[in-house]
Amino acid sequence: MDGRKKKRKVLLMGKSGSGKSSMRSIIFSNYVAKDVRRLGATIDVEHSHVKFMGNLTLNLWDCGGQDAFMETYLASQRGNIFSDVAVLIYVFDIESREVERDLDTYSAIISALREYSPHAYVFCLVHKLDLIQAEHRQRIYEERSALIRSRTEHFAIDTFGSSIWDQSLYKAWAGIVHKLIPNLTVIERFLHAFAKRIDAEEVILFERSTFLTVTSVSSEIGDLNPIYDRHERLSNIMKAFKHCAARNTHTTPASAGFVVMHTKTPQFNVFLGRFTDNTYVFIVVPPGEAAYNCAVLNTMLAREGFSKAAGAAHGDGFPLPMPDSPGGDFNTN
Amino acid sequence: MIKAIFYSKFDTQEGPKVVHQVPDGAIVSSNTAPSQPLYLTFSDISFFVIPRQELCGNLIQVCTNGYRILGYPICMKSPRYDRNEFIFNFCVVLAEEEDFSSYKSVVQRLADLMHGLEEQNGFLSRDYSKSGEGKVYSLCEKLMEDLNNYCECMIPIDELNTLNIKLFPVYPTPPPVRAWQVPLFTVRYQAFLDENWDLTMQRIVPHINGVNSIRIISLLADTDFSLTCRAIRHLLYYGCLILLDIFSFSAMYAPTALFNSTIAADESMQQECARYVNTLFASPMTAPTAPTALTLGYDKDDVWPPVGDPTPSLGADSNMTTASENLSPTASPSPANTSTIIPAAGSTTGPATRHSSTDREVVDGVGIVELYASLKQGQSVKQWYLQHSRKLTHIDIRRFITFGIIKGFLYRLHKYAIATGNPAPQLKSGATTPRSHYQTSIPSGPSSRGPGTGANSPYASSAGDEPAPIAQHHHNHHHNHRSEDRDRASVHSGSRSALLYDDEDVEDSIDDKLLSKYLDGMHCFDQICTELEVSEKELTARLKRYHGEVLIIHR
Amino acid sequence: MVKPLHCSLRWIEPGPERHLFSSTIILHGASPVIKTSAELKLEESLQVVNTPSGQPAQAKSNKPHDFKPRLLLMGLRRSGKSSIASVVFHKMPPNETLFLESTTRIQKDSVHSFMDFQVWDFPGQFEYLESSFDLEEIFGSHGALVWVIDAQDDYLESVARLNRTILTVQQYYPNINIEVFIHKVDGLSDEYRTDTFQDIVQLISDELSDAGYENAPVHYYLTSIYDYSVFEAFSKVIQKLIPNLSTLENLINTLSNNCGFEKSYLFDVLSKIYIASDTRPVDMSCYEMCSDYIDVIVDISELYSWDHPDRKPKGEQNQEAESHVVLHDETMIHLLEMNKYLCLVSVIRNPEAKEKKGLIDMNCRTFQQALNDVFSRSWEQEQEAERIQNQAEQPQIEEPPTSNFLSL
Repeated sequence: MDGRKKKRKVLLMGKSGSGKSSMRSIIFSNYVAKDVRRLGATIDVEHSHVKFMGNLTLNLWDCGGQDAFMETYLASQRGNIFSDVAVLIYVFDIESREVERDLDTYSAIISALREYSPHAYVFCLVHKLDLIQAEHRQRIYEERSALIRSRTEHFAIDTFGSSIWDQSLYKAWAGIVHKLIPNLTVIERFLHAFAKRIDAEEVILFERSTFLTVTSVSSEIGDLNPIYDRHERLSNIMKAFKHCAARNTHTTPASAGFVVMHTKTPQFNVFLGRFTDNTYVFIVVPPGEAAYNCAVLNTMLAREGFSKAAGAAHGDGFPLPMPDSPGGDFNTN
Repeated sequence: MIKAIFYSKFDTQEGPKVVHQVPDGAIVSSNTAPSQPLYLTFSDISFFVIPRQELCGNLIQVCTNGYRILGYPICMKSPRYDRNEFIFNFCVVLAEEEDFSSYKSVVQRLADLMHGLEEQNGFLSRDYSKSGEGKVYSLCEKLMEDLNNYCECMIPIDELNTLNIKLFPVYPTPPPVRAWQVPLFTVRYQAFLDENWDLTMQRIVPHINGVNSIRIISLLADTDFSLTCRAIRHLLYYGCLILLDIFSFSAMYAPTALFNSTIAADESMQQECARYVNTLFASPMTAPTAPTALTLGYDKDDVWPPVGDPTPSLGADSNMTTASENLSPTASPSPANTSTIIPAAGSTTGPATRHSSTDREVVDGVGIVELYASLKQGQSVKQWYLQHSRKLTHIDIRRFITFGIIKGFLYRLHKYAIATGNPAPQLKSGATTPRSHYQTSIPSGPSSRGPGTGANSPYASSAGDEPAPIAQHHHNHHHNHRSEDRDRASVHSGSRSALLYDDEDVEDSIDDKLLSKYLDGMHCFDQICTELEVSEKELTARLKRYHGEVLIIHR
Repeated sequence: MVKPLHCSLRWIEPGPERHLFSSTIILHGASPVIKTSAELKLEESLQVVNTPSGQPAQAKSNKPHDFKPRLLLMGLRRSGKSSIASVVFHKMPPNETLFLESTTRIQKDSVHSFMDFQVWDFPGQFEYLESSFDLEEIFGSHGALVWVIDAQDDYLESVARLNRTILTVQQYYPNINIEVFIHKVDGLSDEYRTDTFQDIVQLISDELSDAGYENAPVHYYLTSIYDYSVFEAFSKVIQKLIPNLSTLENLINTLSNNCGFEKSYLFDVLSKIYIASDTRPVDMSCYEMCSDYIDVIVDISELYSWDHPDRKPKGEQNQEAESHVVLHDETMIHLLEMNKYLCLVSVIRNPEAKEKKGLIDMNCRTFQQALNDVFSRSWEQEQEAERIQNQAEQPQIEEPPTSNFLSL
């Protein structure tokens, strides 16, 4: 993949009614789950440019999934649709009664992709898991996932089970954007160093408008947290509250947001604040007033370090300081 | 000819889909007509037939493979539909080169009707019949058959709804009409006037005579000016009218480039002209109609039948005389005291006039051409008339000019005034070239007015035809007389009129500021006079007293 | 409405009497406790066996036993009584209430909170007034009669029955509060809503005054389970049953005035009923934000309050949860745990509030003390041991120490 290319073409495909536009609206357009019932069908291809992390533009092609459309994608539109694809997101409706037929269509799409964009990354979402009884979800998802993988040829693929009614949607999309952010390892290295300095159990970076997890690091103790889906649950919790705040301050969800949030409980302390223009940082530290205040102060300092680095880098990309550069400014505890 | 009609909808599973098609197998291949070659590939145009939601509710046309597809997609939103929407389109397929303007309203009407039916009882969404069967299909079939065979259809759908469609020819939108334009019928409106006509229309048509400007018509008919304009445009749209300029003896006309190829060469046109302008044929009471009416299928030998009130009302006459007193040029053309040839006021019948016309040779074709050719720039009609008065004895001057305008070989030289921004020169500023013609002609007394001597001057015909105010009005615009100003003022009751009436010094009621708006060279005298409600003479006088230099240009 | 997806409250199918233990420990990541009577009995007996000298179980309330108001949910069948109870007290997502089965027997829910109360959900076809029923048993206790009317249905019959009930009940128990929920108004347009409201109010008061009962103490609420109106209504109903409401309101008013709060609520954390608020009029949006903010804190706490021997605090910290958030428009929402049952949530629309956070905290702590004084005095007889200890140091004053507030 070309790491420098800032516009990434993302194909969103799948059978009609599988929930492509719904999830797109929830993640990127601040819809709430119950409102997507009012959406109409997508006709042909709906192009949208999603700004993510400020300067990464996802060129999202939401492709209507009706049979007639699928045929044109594979025939007359083939080159247009499948060239320069960075990521294909293919959505399967878990409720579909024509599994074999769905998989055949998928195979056809995969071979078109191989022809025009052999290096694309493939994500398959097994969607609407909420419609399956909880006790069967995992099993059915895994069965379906195995079938999908067997039809994916050589492509690198991730599969997710998802539902718009819970955090699984955020997990899937966090996984997707994680793959699309070019210089993530550098960011992660920085966050590691940072978390260690402030003795945090966990540091999570959220994208500002979508509240998707960009990346996260946890300490040894933080790793012991038994709740594995906490990141996507946090996305969901915070985004829901953002909607509430928007409603009650008479603004749009897109322009609503948080300046800062502090929470202290006997078991943990949490700080949420703006980090860069396009991210929130979420820090979990053990209880202890003094240690907490110090961590908050250090976060502020790190933020300044970041913005300076961003200025030096002409605002190009996520500001990327050398892994150890901001560390010098830290107060030590 | 409609080549095909098809009904397409958005199927939430299959996507855009042709549900019914007439003829079978025209758009998509069908089992019942397997070997038919398709007119086009549906998938190529499906995006236009079933476009995305935002484009629905618009007329959409797309050409492919030598065919033109006209459609009007409709997107209905309701939670009762799967995926909250029902998108459909009834399309008409024509040959690409065929004129499709009249089919636009067909598809739109069809879409509207179907929209209504679907809203009432799910007429379309609950139609599960197979392709080529069912109510919707037979509707398409009948529609295509009837439109192709009879250009109209009346298809009952249920006890409440009927599909009524007629192919109407579509003409280009007529240009906006102006207050100072003079409409003239090319047809006899009496033949098709009926009481169901628009009220404004009913009131204005009697005043359309080729003399009255639109403003005057609206005053006479006491109709709203903008409504009058709309009615005139309506008539114009259907080609019932042509628009002329205000005829005046001070106006100038000159031949156009068409002159040589039309009247100069075309003997039949010369004859047509002769018939049209000859006062021997025309009764003064005749409602003027454009000569084209003759060529539009009327009997050529048939002279204008006298219409309107055959006997000029006494009131009109007396009004006329009182109005004109002894100075008015209309006094002399008054039919009562001139013509010895024809009893102008009499209700002469067609044959009678024809008979009398045979007695006298008027002007032959060559003479007509010569007369036309002698019209030129820098010479007013009046001057021209004076030069050729002998030849013009039996010629209705207004008709003579009008004929040239209608046929396109004459054009009017309009006068425009431009304020140069320089201070006003000394009083003799009128000596600037184009203006001089005018300047010399205006002050001349009524006694020297040649046109006034003819019994059949245009004023005579209009005066005899219409109640007095018209004559006054008309004159008021082109001749100017103080006494007439009073009469005019009494015609309408607007406040400005009242002012005019009281105020002897008419010009002062127009201030320089108001006037200056018109002095940019974009407004012709006809317009200025009409809008300021002054006569040309008054205007000229007023311009002389304008605070800056004013040039008058003819073109 | 967005409901966070936490649903950690165990759902017990209707039938047995359910006991709901409201507690601010949910702000610390613990799950709320709900038990059936049978479970409680079993626990009690087990505890007696295991720790014969131990403290009584939670069920043994630290509040007076005789002070247990009763909310009687009545109305025609399918008017939404059980849905209301499930949404408010059992945290059921509103759209799932469609699947609730009809109630056939009286469903009793005991809520153990700052004040214990019972919610009795009656079957719609229940004939309360038949002589075979013991009116004393039903209406005997102090409480409120909550009559639910389906506003989307023909309400004439419901109104008629309500009037009969009122006339009967008020003869014997003139002190009972009559609360009318005009319910399911989410499906009505604003205009229609107002008309319906006025119509019902008119119908009831006309009929009551025809029967010679003037100025009946009937209160009306427009409610829906799809927004916060039903919580708001329940809050008002409960507040009338709190003996020292005016003291609480005075306290909150003083606090709000001194801190420049736009609005301040004292919440029962689990039910999200507010037992008191300052008396400024505001729209529902404040309540909505405060209520949702509690959800946020409860949800985050659930994620990060796991127990592990290696997890150790790094210093001293208050044992009460405290949180605040500053929104994009500088609005601050401040949440402070008050005691075992209650937390204070305030909205501050003052851009300078961030800087004066320390003062706000201090004032809130003062309020907390005063609040706990008020509660401790009303339940003096049965105090928790530690409470009594704390109390011993506090002077027993008539009015709470409001003079300690500092103005911002």
